[in-house]
Amino acid sequence: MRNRILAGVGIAALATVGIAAPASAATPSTADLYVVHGVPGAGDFPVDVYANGAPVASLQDIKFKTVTTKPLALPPGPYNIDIFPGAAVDGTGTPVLTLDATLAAGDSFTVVAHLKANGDPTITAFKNNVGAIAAGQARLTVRHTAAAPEVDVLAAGAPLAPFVNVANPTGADADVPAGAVSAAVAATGTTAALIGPADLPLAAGTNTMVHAIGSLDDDNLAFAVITIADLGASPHGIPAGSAGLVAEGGMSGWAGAGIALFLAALAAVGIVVRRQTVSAER
Amino acid sequence: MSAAIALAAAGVLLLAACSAPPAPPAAEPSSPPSPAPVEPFAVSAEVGPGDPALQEVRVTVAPGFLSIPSLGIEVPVAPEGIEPDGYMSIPDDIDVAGWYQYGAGPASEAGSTVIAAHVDDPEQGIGPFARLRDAQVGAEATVVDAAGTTHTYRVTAVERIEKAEVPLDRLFTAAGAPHLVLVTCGGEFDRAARSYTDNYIVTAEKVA
Repeated sequence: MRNRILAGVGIAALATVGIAAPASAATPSTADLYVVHGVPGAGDFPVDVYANGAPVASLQDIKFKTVTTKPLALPPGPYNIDIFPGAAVDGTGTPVLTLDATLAAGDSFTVVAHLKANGDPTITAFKNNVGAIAAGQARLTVRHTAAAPEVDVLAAGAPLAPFVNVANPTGADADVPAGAVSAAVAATGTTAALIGPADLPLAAGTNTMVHAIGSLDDDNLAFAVITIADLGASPHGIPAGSAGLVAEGGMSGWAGAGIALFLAALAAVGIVVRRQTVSAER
Repeated sequence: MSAAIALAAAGVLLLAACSAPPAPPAAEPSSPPSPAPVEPFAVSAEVGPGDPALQEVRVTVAPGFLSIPSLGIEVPVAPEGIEPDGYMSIPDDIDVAGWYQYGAGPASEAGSTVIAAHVDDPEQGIGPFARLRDAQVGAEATVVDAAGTTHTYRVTAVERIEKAEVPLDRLFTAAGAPHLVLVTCGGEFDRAARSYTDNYIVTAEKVA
């Protein structure tokens, strides 16, 4: 394993993410960046994360399977993110992985340092779906970032669409009714769990982002879960009465229409009577 | 966005293709040598375990009983959710109030605890929430939660708003100091639709 990582050091995987400004209803002034350390190695491979040449205070010597529980809220602009082995003297050495990204206000990305299907380290930026979630629903996002063949996600033992035939490094998301789910990952077409089953609360209004990380060959596959909360939309309304027993200020609908008809009828009668009166006077 | 990712992926492939056969190693992009120690990056995150079994699960404590002594309201509160049409579900029993379980609860550190009840029913008559319209600013409301803790609130606003204009995102909010939002119906009655035109909304700040 360690050899693979050292090999990776020389290569320094490079990915550039070009991001167009999204048409976001709310206009936040920053972009959210979440981080997953999904590269296994000796001593759980501690790494230091640098942004634009400076160490990110909270992301030093973080180990395999560590995630950000609160995102980096970054001002919009271009970013160079370097990941150095934690063992290196700070400010020296060559990054294991490098990512160049331009972030716009309102963006939400998860940067995952992980293994390719063949076991080489790489880094991938996934755009998070932070759109409003219908009231009572929860969003599940699953990303394959492990050294393993294509997988299916099993919920309570059965394949869960659309998370089938998921290949490294891709993912999918779906909105489902809120409520705990027992989730596992199995090689596509099989039901033998490679990771899990794990209980995921899937609370309403949250996006639970599950990353499959590690290596099948090295027997260290794992889930790395990040939850984004408070995405739930409001109910459409509150219908709280059905009898009209405490109505105020008049009526409408059938009742109102009925009264209007009645008044119209009275008026019509009145007109007829008046005409008759007129004709009698003649 | 997917186009951007596809472009990025294509970019990576191109890089790989270009650098593979003849390109000298010197052409390979590498980070400039880092100078002496630098100031830590100003923005920071919080980190934790990715293993779901090791993560804290945010549990919302349900309200169990609501009292507003000045209005003579004493009602049990049951968890409610969403009707298939997207409206908040409310207990059929007019003497039971419903708590929107997908929002905050009385023990939450932020956001609104929304409790609603039917104002009336053709068979059951008029419910206790009909008295919400008489609530006075400053009146006390208490909620006993499912854990037995009592939470005290003070009414800050009593509003009657046409249903189409009700600021639902303000009522159902995860933000702001913890507060109570009590809702029922009122206004004119549309007999055709068997519904009232307005909502009564009582907002109360948490004081203890």
